[in-house]
Amino acid sequence: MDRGPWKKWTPAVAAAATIAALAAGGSITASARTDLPDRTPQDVLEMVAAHELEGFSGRLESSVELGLPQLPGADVRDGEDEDDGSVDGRIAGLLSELTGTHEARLFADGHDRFRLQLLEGADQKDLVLNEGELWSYDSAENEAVHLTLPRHGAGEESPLARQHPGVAMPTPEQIAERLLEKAEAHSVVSVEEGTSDSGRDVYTLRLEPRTDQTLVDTVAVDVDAATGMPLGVEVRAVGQDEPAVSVAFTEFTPEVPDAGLFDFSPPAGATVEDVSLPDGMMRHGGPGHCGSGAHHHRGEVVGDGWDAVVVMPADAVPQDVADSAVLDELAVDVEDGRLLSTPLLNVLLTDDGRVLAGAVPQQRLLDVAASGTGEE
Amino acid sequence: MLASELRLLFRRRRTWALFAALAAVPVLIGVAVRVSTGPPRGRGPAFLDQVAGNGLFLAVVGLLVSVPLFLPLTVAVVAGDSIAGEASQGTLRYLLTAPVPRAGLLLVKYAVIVVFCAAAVLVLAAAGVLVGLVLFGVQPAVLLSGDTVGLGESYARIALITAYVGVSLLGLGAIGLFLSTLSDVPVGVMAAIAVLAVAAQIAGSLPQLEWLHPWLFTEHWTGFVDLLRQPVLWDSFVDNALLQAGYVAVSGALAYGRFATKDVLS
Repeated sequence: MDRGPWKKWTPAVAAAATIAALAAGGSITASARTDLPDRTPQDVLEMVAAHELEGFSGRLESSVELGLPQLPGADVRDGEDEDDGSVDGRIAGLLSELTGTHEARLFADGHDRFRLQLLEGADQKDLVLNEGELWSYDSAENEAVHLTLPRHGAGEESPLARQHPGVAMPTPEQIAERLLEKAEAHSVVSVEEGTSDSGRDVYTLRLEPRTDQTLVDTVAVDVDAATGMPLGVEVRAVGQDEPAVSVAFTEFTPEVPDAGLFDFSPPAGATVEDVSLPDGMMRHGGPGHCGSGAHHHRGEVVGDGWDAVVVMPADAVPQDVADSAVLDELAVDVEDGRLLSTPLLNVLLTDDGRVLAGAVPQQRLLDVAASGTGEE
Repeated sequence: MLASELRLLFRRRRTWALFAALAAVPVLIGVAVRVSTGPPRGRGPAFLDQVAGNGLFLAVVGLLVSVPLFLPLTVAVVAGDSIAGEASQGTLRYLLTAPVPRAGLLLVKYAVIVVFCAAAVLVLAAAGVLVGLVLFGVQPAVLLSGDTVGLGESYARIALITAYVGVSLLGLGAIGLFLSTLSDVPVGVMAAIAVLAVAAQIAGSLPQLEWLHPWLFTEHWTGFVDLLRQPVLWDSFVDNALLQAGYVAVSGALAYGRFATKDVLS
């Protein structure tokens, strides 16, 4: 009779043990190696260039760890803060939008319709493109923005269309060859087989910079073995355990989603804004990205590999950016200027007003600055 | 035996008092929104704002407001009383003289808790739908993705959310059953269950305890907003169901271990 009472506890132990085993087992199977035919980097790049999907739906997770200190204004960022138009507000808004972990769902029909849904807690932002009609909807503000895109030649209509080279484009083999040639000049390129976060078999294309004059440790691109679709990108910085930037599908279904998803009409009661877009603005992302890319063409690039440094002369840098309080808070003083340092990117604001940026160690920025590039 | 236990539950005045308190939640919110000029904008999820325009959302808001405290409290009362109440009244040993094994008695008691959870969320949702209909009328509902869906699908989504909340409470009910086997003082058990529900939610809001969050039974309690997206995001429903099943299995087994080895003296 001694063992009697203990037997009654067996189910409790068994239940706990089963759950523990399931929890542990889940993480083991996730990293199990798969059995795919061997491919060279050339083959994988060809797969990417040739891939043509009749639509898909998926779930994306992006995480950006810039290692910046928490900004005081970033938490209370709300509609009002963004609209004040100040550089500080814009920088803080942009940083909080870019950094951290974000989740999104993406649906595409393989042609000119797609829908992106940013999941933000109990709110959601939608971006719907349906044959030249672009809608964005923000559930938190109950605001919709409507935009009719000007008709362009193929290749500019949607991000998806951009991935599909038109008829006049070179063949996938040629694209792969050229890309590989460029990549191998500066990096060691290798291919591994594995399983992505979405549970699909992938080839992981890994680039390791040949130079040590860069903060980039590796860049890895997951390419779906079945469809050739890139499923994830991961950038690791030197000396960091966690990836600095990672964007990947956590779910991916290569099937055309329900066509009704792309029919969007704003709900009754929502504020609707009609925006018309001047030609030529298409090249820069959506609204909110203006300003970040606009000045690049006035800058100068030193170096052509991983150690490239972008130098902007003093007159290309808006004064309010240089004087921004947010930048002041993030930057540290170095000789001849201020340095904004993150694991993956260093930005140097020199005392004479130039801005130098690159995925390079700070010493290289200082060297380039001292060489006088970008001075009048 | 299950039928007699259920009759006992629904014959109690206390049960009906709990239902009335739950039904009062959407009534209060509805009346408050109706007499005021409209809820202040920019607080909480956007669909709170929609109550004034659409009665359908009152049920959803009523559920959302009740999930953190009111619903756990009612479950705590019923689950805490299940075994400890019988023990304190001295009726437990009479129950055990019936030709039913102790595991069977536990199962019946848990089934009663499950029925109560289902009834509680149904009362809450039905009150919300009815009050919303009377006070605001109904229009096609706007989902988080900005899509507008018709009445039929709106009701289907409300039913789904109701089911989600009901499932959310099953883990707590099982924990309550286990705690109830530990003691002969039902009030103490009820308090312990309620405190546990609140403590789990506080732990869930502390970023320092992030490693613990996936294991908290309250983790997905408010995840039903995912059912208001188009297309429906099922992940949280599935995750929640798995999590609750895990708690039911472990707590149920613990309750059996305790109850089967317990000396019932009263």
